[in-house]
Amino acid sequence: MKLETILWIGVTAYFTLIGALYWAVGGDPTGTSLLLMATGLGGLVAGWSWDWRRRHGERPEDRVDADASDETGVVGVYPTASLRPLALALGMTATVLGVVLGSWMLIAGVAIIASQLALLVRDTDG
Amino acid sequence: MTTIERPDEDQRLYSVDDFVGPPGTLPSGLPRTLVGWLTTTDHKALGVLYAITSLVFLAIGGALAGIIRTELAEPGLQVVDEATYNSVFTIHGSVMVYLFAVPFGFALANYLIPLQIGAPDLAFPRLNALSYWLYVFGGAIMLLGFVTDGGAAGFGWFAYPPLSGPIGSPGLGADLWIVSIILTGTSGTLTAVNVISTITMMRAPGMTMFRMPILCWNLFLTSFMVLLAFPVLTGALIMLEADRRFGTDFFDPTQGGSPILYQHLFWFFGHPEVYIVALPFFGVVTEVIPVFSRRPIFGYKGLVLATLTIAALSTSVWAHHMFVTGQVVLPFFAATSFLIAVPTGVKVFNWIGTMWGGSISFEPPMLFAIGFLVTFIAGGLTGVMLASPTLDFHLSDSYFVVAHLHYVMGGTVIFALFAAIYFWWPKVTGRMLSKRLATVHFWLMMVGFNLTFFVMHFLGRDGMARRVADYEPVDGFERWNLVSSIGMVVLTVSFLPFVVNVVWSLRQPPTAGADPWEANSLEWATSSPPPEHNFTWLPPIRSERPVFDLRWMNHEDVSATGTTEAWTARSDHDSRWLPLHPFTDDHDVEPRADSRPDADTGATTT
Repeated sequence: MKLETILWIGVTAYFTLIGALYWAVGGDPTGTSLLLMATGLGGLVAGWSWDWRRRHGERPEDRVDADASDETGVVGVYPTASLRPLALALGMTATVLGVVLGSWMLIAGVAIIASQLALLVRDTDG
Repeated sequence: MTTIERPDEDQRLYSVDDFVGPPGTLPSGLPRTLVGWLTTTDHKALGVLYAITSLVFLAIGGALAGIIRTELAEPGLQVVDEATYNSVFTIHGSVMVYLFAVPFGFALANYLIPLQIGAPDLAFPRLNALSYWLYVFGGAIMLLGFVTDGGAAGFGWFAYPPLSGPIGSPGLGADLWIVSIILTGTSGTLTAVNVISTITMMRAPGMTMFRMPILCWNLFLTSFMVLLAFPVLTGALIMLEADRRFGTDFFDPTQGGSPILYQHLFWFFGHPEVYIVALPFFGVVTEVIPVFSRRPIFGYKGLVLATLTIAALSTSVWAHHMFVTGQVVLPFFAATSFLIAVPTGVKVFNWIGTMWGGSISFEPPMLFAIGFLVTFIAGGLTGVMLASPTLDFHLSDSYFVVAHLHYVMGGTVIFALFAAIYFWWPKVTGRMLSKRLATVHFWLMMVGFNLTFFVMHFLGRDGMARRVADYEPVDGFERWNLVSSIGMVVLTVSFLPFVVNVVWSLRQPPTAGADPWEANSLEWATSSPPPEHNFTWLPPIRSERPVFDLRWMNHEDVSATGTTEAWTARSDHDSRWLPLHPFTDDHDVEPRADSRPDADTGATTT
């Protein structure tokens, strides 16, 4: 995790620098605020990975001498096939199309999203 | 160099098939039914779906390009009227950029990242499925524009207001275009989150960041750029749609809004977008070139650093697309644009350095990788010319820019894409493609592509404007346009050998084996096609070439430091992780029957 943290700190530092430089030479508020928001994006992930490393230490994937046996047991649980992603995407499409085509579609879209989200969180394995 | 003495039998090179069994031992992990494909959350199935869908969009975008080149073949309006022409080039550009090039990168990310880092799937498989379906629906909505009153959007792929505003484009097609890009943009953002999480948290033990294949590095940094750029575009388009539907005035200068604000927002997305398209394909050639040059990649960390620098700089050059507005800081953006040529040059240097002195074989993937280098360098050179404001003032919005962008975004993508298809086809399907047909495909494409787009430099230099349906027969315009249209025919014909090749290959039995190219990275350490959740077994990872080290594990002076020790440790302490064929000098030993996976279920009975 150390390298990832350094990487994201680097991202944060780069956008701070380039944002300041851009403000100094141009004074353009649009570009400067975009660059500063990028700083925030980098900082968010940098902070998360720094904190993760502080809590959990180094992992087998960060050690040069680790092998498969260093990480055995249940490493994760994978979801089964599910219709929910397809239905949810359909609902999201209907929602944004509703803005263009009329509120009837918007309502249908929101209804699909709500029902599919409810089903998705209960749909852990099948 | 000293030669190490060892007994003859010890010199044997292993092959991956010694470990995972002969072709067909494990069943493919892909779904078998239509319902299976519709509900799948498996990264390999979604990767294949992404690839097929984006190739369908390539065909649609190519057909639209065919209309453009037919119309421009001679002066006068023959095929379409001006309004239709506007729709055609807009949807051609949008389909190629948003629905073909970027999603094919996601196809690579989906299929290859878990395989290359030794993971069973992406971090969020259902999110991944959601991204795919958003992309499909978004793409379909864009094409729906053609059947609305007033036709599809006709304001170009960057949709500048006021032309894209409520007065400039009143039709429904423009709204559908905006909605479509919002959906595909959301899809891209979600995929980027998935890729970053996967690469950060799901690598196999021993797979440090600096042992990842360059393709994974490139997809990782691409995803970061997606996170930075796509939400800005989505935001800008929501503002634009609000201007059109809800009477806001973000981009309306008569009400105190600013069209330049839109241009800033769009190009803050648009320039990183160019690299979002390109970096995955840089990664592809970086995977292909070492394999067919029989050398390790030259300057691994240099390449990573170059990618990092490109990713960083590409977010600070956006306004070089806006030089002619007269409203941007020319020196800042010219300087950063010139700077970006440095890391790009480092990459080209490293690719050539990898080939230099290597034992090059011109298999189809290598041919296409070299085709990529040629078009990329040609496009890169005109890019440096366009980065200079003085030249840009003259060349902006001319066919010179069209030539440049088709070299950097069209040629590099299409050549690297076919390098990827020919390279990973055996992994995905378990079958090989014909080398002879592929060679015909390559040469037709090389000739067709350059015939079509190289002459556009001359057209642009002589002042032909882009996005016009008609032109006067002056300055040789009609001659170069005809040449370009003939090139387009050759380019289209070049796809025929490929289609024949695919059909022919799919009718063969899957006998390619796990590692037909004798390649380097971890995806070749599982059977072809890979089983569900990818790996039943992993080799030790001691360098960025784990499969190379596996083949050469008996040669301590060739395989990476620590490889032999890792195998000995497995042999001594942890026999669970030994291959089907035990690690031994005695080659007459039968495979361990008790641990051979069952051919029908894939279950290992131990």
